[in-house]
Amino acid sequence: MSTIGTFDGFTAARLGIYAAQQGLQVTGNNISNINTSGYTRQRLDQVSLKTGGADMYRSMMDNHIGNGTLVTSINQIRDPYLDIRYRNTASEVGYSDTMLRGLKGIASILDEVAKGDNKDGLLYAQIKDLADCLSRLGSDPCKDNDTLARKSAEALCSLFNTYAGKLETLYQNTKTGFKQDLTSVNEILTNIRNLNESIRNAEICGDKALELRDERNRQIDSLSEYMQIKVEYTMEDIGAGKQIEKLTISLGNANPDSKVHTDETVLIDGVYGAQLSMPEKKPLPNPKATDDGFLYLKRKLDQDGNEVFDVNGNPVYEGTNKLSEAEQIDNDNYTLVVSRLYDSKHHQPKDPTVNEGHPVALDDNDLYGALQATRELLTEKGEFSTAADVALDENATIKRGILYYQKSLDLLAQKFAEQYNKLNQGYIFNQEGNCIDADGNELMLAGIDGVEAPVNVKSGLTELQKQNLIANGFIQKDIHGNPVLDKDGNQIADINSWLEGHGGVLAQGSGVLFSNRNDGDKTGDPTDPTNPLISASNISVSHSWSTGDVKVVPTCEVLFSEDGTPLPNTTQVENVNHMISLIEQSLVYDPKELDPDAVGSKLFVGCFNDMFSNMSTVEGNDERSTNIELNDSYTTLTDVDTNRMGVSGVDLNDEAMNMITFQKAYSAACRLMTVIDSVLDRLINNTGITV
Amino acid sequence: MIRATTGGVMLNYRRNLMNSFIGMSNAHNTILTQRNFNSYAEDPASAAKAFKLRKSRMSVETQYTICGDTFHKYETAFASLQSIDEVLDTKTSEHMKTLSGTTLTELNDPTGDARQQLTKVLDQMSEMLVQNLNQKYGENFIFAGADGHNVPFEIKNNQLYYRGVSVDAAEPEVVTNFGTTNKVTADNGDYIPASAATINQAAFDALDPAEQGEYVHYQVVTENGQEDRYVLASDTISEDDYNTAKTEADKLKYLANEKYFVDIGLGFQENENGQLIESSGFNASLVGINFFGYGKDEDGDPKNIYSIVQKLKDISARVHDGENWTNEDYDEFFRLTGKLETASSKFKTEFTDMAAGTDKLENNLELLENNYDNLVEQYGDMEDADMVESITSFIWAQYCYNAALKVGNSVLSQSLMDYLS
Repeated sequence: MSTIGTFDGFTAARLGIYAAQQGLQVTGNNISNINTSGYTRQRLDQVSLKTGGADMYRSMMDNHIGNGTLVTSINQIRDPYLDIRYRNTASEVGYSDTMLRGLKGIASILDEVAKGDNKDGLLYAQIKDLADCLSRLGSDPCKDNDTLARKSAEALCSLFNTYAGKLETLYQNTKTGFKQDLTSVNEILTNIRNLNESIRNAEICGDKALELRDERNRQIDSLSEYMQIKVEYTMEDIGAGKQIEKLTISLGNANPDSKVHTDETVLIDGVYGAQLSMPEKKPLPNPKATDDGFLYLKRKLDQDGNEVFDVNGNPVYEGTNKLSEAEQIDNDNYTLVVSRLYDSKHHQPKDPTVNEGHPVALDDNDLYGALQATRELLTEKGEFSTAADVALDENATIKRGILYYQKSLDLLAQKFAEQYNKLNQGYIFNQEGNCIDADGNELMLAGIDGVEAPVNVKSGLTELQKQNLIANGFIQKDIHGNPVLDKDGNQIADINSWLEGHGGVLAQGSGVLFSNRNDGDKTGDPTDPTNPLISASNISVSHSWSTGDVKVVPTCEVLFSEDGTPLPNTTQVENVNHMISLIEQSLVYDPKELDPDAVGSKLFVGCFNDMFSNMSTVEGNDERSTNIELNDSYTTLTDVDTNRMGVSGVDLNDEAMNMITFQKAYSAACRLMTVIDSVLDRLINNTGITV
Repeated sequence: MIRATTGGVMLNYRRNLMNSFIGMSNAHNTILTQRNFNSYAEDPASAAKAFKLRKSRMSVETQYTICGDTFHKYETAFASLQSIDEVLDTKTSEHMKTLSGTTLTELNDPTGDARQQLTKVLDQMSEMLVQNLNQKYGENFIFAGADGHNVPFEIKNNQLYYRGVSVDAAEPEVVTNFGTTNKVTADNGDYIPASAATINQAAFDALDPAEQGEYVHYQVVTENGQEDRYVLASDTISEDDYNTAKTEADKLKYLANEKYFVDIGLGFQENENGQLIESSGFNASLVGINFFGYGKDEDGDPKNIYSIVQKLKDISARVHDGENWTNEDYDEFFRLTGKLETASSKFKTEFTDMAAGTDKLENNLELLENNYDNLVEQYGDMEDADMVESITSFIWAQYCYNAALKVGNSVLSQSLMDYLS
């Protein structure tokens, strides 16, 4: 029989009361925080208390009885696996949600479903309205109808300008939003770093800092919406045999290119944290920069000072940290840089292995989440991507951001203006269809065999004439001076350039209908920055058309002009008919016509209306698929969050049960104390006393 | 789920309630807008197709307007030509109101009492015919081919001109070497009209020297071989005059075939040379000389009605009231009356062709109307919401939403806490 401590029972009762009281406090805390965002359910950890050990008088007949209960700690209940799933899914939601918002912004400008008179659209209907006006001009080529066509063209130009302006505003707003997002991300990173520091200090003092952990988890959840992250908890030895928990957050290895490792860059390492920034000038992607700062990219030059290209014809860059202003390349890819790690006192970690102690310029696909979605909205050009873009991201040609739609609209406006300007600058021909000079004499063009023949616009050039033109460099060129090729890749003869230098005469009233400013007739020169090419933002009715010096040329046909007075043909409209046909004509929209460096060769083949409709169709399909992705990932996120709440959330039924349990335990412990008191009273005051 | 918590249940409920509300809102929108979709993203394929159909409808609207205008132009032309036809008509009993009746009256007038009056009638009628062909539709002259802004027919010195070219212009027929088109030139460099009287060497030699001086020599290859022949120098035609006449004839020939096309919904497409495929447009050109005739026939007589009538008038004017015809005049008048009948017959043929064109336009208008209705119906089927289905969907969505609200009320109010005492 073991030794009985006289007051042991009181201790057990006291500990029971104490534990039940703490249990009620924890329950109360849980109930109070039932609506607190990010709160993790807390639980009382109790152990049975056993004092002493085997004593020298201990008998095998002894029965050991515990001394009550001890509250060892208050813990949070979390499932790390659910946290990982939640944060991965949150980055998917962040990406889809941001992308969807951007696409909806584009759709609000370009999507013309149910817009306009009779719900026929705006720009879409205006193209047809111009065709309508041209048809009227075709049925009666009078001045009034020319004015009508001009007014319609002005309305069309105005719509192009408006749409381009809205897209530019959207772009600038998105850019501003991107910078704000960067600020938010940096705030979160700072908060996490500071929380880490507070938690560390608390832990050193033996406090688990559960509420700080909740806040940190909330911040990490927020961060995961902006970018895919990897969260790790390790134990850090702080000396004297004491270890405390250390949190490390790094990028979540989002880059599909396994050779790239910048997508594992550390953002938070315990009490040290980095910041994200977007330099104005393009930083060197890899290798990592030196201590002096970032290396910047510049075009590599050979000994003669000529720009160097690789075997694929792509420009070669080299890094430098001494870059003149002129040599600096704009950071148009919105490359982000992760800074060195600093603590709250701006000290760097002693361990230089993290990020090798350098800032890191991130690769194009290192991020995945809201930030990356905004970057893609700002940088992705789809078929207009250059070789350099594809080198950064092999999927660049199938990713389409605001730039894609801006460039598509520009290409449409440019093509539209180019085609109509060309038609309105035709060379005169006689009743036989043969091009003539100012005296009415037929112009003769030799074939490659040297045999001359008239230049007939009705039957077209002979094959031999075409060969001769091509052999002598009279070929069709795009606005940048590059040869235009047919579907078989052959050069195309250009009779107009030949006629220009061989006596051809432009039809009366001919000239450009569209220009890059409405106070002039310029159509742009790619080599002159002050004379931009026609685009959606600047397309205008030419000054000469608006003043009447140029009109829509009804016909280039001049009848019997040999004797100096041609027969009038005031209602012949063969040229207007070309213009009417052009509206429905299938044209090839080649991104290279807008940007010679573009890798895409055929954006779309179709008429003007179809090209515009295609832009909305592409956007609509992207928006639709993104919406599906968002719904899918959001459903998953909610499911994971519900599961996470199932583990970490407060449940009123649970807490009610706990409340009853602790209440009963408290009552029972009190009762125990009463009983023991009664027993001791009997033992002390009433034992051995005879009355 | 191992454990359902109050927060988890509320999160789930909130999400589902939101879905339910979104569903109701969408159903609501469908009813309000009466459309199946309001953006490309909702149904990209249908939106793109609907826009294509709308574009076709807009084209049809324009084509309908153009076709209607052209039809009205043809109707006006028809009325003008009908007036002309009545003047040319040989069947009407009111002889004095028709050309044929007037000419017959002249031919059969034994006393010639009213000859001068009839001459004036012929003159007035021919001018009236020309005026009819100078009719306008809107701002354009109907029968001017592709020169609708200028008066097509003009009379100068009793000669009718179409767009500045004499309607009687014809390429002179000149002597050519046998079996070739090579024109023969006389020793003075002129061409020899085929109708000119020529003599052979023997006949020339028989002339006295003074007469010989009026002739000019030329060599020609006939079916019998090369011959030396002579023609009066005054009968020859200089190369310049020949070329001028030929050019004028070429102009007439070109103008008679002049076309201009309008888009009335036949496809309106260009070939690889950038030229309109003619069958895809409608030739809206009405050329006056095709109705009235132009050039000269094999007898050298004008084919134009006005010119024939002028000739008839000239013959008639030569004979005073009460005088008899000379045989030559009568024969000439009779012969030209036959030419007038031929020209009138040609006019009727052209008139009938034009009437067929009017019918084609009228039929096309009907087709375009049907096409318009079909297109509106087609995109309407895609875009317009089925109201029965929409209202049913909305009521169902509303029912679901109300049910979700009701469930929410009970979910949120009940817990063990409510039973503690």
